[in-house]
Amino acid sequence: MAIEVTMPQMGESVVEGTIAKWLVKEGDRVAEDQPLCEISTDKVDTEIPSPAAGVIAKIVAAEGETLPVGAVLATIEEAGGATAAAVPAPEKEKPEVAKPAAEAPRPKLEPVRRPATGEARVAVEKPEAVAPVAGKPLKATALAKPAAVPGDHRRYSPVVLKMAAEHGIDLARVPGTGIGGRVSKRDVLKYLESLGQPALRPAPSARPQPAVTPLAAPSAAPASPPTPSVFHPPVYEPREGDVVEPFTRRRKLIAEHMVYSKTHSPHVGTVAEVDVTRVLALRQAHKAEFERREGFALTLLPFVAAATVRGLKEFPRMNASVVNDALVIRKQINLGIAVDTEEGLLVPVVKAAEGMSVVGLAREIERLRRKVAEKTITADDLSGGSFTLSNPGREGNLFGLAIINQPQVGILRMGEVRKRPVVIEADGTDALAIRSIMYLALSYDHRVIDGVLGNRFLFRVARIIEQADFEL
Amino acid sequence: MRGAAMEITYIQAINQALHEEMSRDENVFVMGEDVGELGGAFKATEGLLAAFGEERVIDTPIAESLIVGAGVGAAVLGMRPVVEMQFADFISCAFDQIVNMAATLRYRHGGRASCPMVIRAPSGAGVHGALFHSQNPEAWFTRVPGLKVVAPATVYDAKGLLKAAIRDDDPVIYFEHKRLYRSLKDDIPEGDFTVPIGVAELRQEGEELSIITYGGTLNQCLDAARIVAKEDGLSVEVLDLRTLLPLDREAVLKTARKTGKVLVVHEDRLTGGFGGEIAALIAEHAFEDLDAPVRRLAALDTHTAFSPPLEEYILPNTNKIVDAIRSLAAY
Repeated sequence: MAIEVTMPQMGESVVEGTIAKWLVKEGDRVAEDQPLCEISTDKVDTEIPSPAAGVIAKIVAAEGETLPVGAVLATIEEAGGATAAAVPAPEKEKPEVAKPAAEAPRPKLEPVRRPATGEARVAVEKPEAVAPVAGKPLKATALAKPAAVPGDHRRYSPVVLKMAAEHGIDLARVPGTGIGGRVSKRDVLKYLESLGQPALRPAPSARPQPAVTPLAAPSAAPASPPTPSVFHPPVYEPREGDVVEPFTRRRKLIAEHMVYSKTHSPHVGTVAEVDVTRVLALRQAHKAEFERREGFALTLLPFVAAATVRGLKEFPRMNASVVNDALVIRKQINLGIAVDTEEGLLVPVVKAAEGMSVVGLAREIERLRRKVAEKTITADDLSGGSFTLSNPGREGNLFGLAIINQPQVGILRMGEVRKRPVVIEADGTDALAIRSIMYLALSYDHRVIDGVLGNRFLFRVARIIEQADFEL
Repeated sequence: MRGAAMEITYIQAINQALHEEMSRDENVFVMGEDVGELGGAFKATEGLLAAFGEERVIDTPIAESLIVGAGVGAAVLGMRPVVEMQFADFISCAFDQIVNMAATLRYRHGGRASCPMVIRAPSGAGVHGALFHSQNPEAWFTRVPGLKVVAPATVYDAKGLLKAAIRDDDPVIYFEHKRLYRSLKDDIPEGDFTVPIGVAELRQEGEELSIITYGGTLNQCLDAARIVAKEDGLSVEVLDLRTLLPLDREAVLKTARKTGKVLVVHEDRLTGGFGGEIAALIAEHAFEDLDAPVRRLAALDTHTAFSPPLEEYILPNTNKIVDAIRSLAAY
């Protein structure tokens, strides 16, 4: 059965895409979800995964062609389909040979190649395509193309493999400018620069070298520092039924950001217990009237946002960026609010939050939330944050330590609110009470924020929330 | 700091070194065919006879084995002979004295005797000297323990390495390139200086690839590096070995590790030439840093022809080096 590959909808405002590069050619056998081609639009660059396992019957759209959403790019003969064997490749060369072959009864080879099940959803056909090599990084080509795509015979020089391992590079993504598209050391350096990674020269191997004079006495000097060991995750062993989901561009950027943050900022996490009973009561008192007036529900989030903004005003060093070797204290408070979306996390930014009331914050958060949902969020909405507040939802979330949004120096993360028995002091005596408690966790960058400051800031924000002294 | 500069030729540097060393140490003397009355076939020993007399500037019969053998004997007895092979091509006549006598002497005597002798060997092609006056026989000696082999490529090194060789307590073969004798001029400081044996010199720093060379091809390599820098924007590193034995392995491996692409250039023939040793050393010890196979550019595996176009065809030259750089850079 023929399946059409079409230009996907890549966002509300995206109406067309350009074929940047075909990753397969006619006659190639492809696995489901295997990237078929690279598409670029004015908003995103992405790869189109194969909708099914099978053989590329025809490529309709040429590289460089710009086509509307929904346009047919290629057709795939599904692996389990009756005409799957009618690969067009042979007829180009010797039709007279191909013809009798097509008419003759199938050679016994054929049933073996079919998936055992009638179902054609076999993303991984040939586990042996990924041969583990001791001490070598798993070639990303293996992950991206588990079905051993013909034509991918890239070989890499020792130094390129070494650099790929050191920097965790997917070599399949590195454009090669050497003879026959070979990826050279220079190409890897350029690629690293394009990622914004520090394009370090590859560290020369630090193994001991034979001395110039072989008679030299064994040196008693301390050994040269050991080569930092590069961890390689276990080699991926494909199994039938595995689904390979290549990173989207956004996922890749998120991944790089998170790794950068964790490796550059020593995170310290600290957690406060916040009694939100009063603020919830305040919310309850204004809830109905607020929703009628504003058209959306009043949640706990704008109260916590308002308390955060007040805390940042009192502790301006928390509202800062690390720029090279300096701490830049930002005057304006631009509060990022982490929002979960289908395509990954987005952090729209409430600009100039220092002048906003709870209502103002609520309106701005709602406006941004809606833009995210409608996919009309712009790059401006997502940039310029000076501090971030994350509210990942209630369930299964006592508390968690978020990763700092670079180059900021701290991030607050709301935990779940639950009624708990707590000891309170009333009129000089202790008493048990049932209160609504939220755990509020602060992660801060210990390069620039010391523990005392981090604690005081968190304690202050917690107290502001508990006091619930907000205008509504 | 170097002293006051003075422009001299490569052969004048050799002549100066001999004058200065003979003045400095009365045990230094020269010996060879036509080195006295004639002042040497190339005038390298000009003026020595007048300055130091016939006891220290000795004309010999045309017998290289005798010249080196006499040198070995004198050296064992504490003299510092500087013997001349009129052309390096004829050094094969002295082969036994060099590899079996001079080179083994210290070993045979358990270190209690040494052979502080210098064998000057005018080598190299590009002077239309045909097959008996164009050879680069250094690779016959770079595998002989007990010898030192140097091949200066600059005026400064011609003087400094010869002086260092004369002061060295072991036999040193000093390959001086005939084409450089009068084509190479440079300002070098007056007076006494030496160039250490066993230390290579980075002539030009670069990023994209490394050329490793010595002797007669250094300047061609530097010219080629300038051409590709200008026309292709390629940044090429050029390492001048200066001494082949003992080889400055650290310098070779350092540049190989830095750029990951190495072109070895020498005027000696390809097969069995010293470039093979360099390539093997890099493959063994810098494999993980290589971005391309090590390439060698050398003379073709044939005799050096008399016909100028054929000689040009056989030898490496700037254009061939430029082509080799481009192809390696593109790899």
